[in-house]
Amino acid sequence: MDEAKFTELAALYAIGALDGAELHEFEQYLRTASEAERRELRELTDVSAMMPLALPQPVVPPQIKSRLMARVTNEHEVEEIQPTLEFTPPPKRFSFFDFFNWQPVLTAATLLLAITSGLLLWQTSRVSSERDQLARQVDELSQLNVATQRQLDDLVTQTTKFVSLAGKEAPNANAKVFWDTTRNEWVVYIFNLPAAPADKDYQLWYITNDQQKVSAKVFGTDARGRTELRIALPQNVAPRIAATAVTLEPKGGSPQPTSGLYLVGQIGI
Amino acid sequence: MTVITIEAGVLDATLSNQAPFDQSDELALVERLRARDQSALDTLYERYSKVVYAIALRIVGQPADAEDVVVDSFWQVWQQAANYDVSRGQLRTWIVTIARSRALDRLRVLRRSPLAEAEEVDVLGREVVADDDPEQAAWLSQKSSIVRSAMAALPREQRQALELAYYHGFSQSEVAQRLGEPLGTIKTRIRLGMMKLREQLQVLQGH
Repeated sequence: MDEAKFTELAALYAIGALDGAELHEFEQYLRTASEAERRELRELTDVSAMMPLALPQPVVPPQIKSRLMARVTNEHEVEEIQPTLEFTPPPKRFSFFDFFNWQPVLTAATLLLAITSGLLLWQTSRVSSERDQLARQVDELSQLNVATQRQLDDLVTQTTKFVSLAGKEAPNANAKVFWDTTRNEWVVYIFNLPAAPADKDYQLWYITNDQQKVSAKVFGTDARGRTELRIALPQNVAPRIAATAVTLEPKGGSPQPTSGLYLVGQIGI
Repeated sequence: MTVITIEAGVLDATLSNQAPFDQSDELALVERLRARDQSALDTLYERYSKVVYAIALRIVGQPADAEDVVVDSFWQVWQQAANYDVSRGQLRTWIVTIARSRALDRLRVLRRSPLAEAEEVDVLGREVVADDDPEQAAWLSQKSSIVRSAMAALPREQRQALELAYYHGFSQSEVAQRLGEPLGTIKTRIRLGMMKLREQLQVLQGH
């Protein structure tokens, strides 16, 4: 804003005539105005404030001063009285509500509060129960995760042998054997075996290289014919195992196979 | 119309010698106001009530309304003394500005405009009414005489524009509309009028 423009706007501003966008612009500009500009505005404001000195100087009615001083004095009295008033209860004012019978309303409100509290307690209990159930599921999943990790460890170890069993008496069945040769452990996964009769169990056999059949495990299956077996191999048998097979035997198992081979697989080198 | 020339140096010395109070005196007065000293308000009232009442009466027109404006103005000064910033202007300017604002507020409420009087503002040749304090009365009389002379020295159009804005609270656009003049013409009149007043009243600055 140049000097001439500032002077014009300052003169209008000082006398209270500036309006609209110019007023906004000028007030914005004043925020960053120089000291010289501020001084000029002060001078112009002083000039405008001198204008009333040209007015006829009337006699000031004496009651004006009395009114002003009474107001000031009254202010002090109010300030002194105020602390007392703070502890004084307001006067009782009767209204429509004083004559209204509140008992049924209070009873209904209490009942509603009780019902609401009961619902909240029930809801809290239910949430708590669900929370416990979720915690249990987390534990189970955690355990499953550990088992799965263990299985994966079994699968990926460099000393693991893999044996696949195919169905004979049960053509749709199959099985996989993961043999940890370091620890001499088998992990066997069996799929799609027919449901065993009530008086029968399935039995897993080691078949040695000299055709001996050694019982490894008697087992059942789930409704879909599946199971998982973990077996520690006998030290004296493990080096001679050439194949493995599953038969259907009387309940509790047999010393030697009595049925045809439901699953059979050769141990690779 | 007579244009007066003021011997600034002579008059300034005269006013300095005769002024019943100076800037340090006013600062002390403000400090006492801030300390809620009622005697300070009393002093302030004696010093400025005449000009405040004159403004109020000029703007609102009726003595009863003017009385209310005076009470409200000094009450505001009393309440807001702590907010007064000495560096932003003289005490007289602050009080006069408050009085004008309160009077214009009252005028808007009353919706009673003494516009008809505005074109023939009677600011010239009035004598100051005798005051209880002869020294202060003389000082005020001298200042008033100077301001009246300065106002009288203005071209009528400029004085009219200034008074419509100051005493009626009209904006430049409203003044232009009421006088049927282009806005630019009103801007010029107000600017020139203010510049001339500043030049003529420079001798009073700070008093």
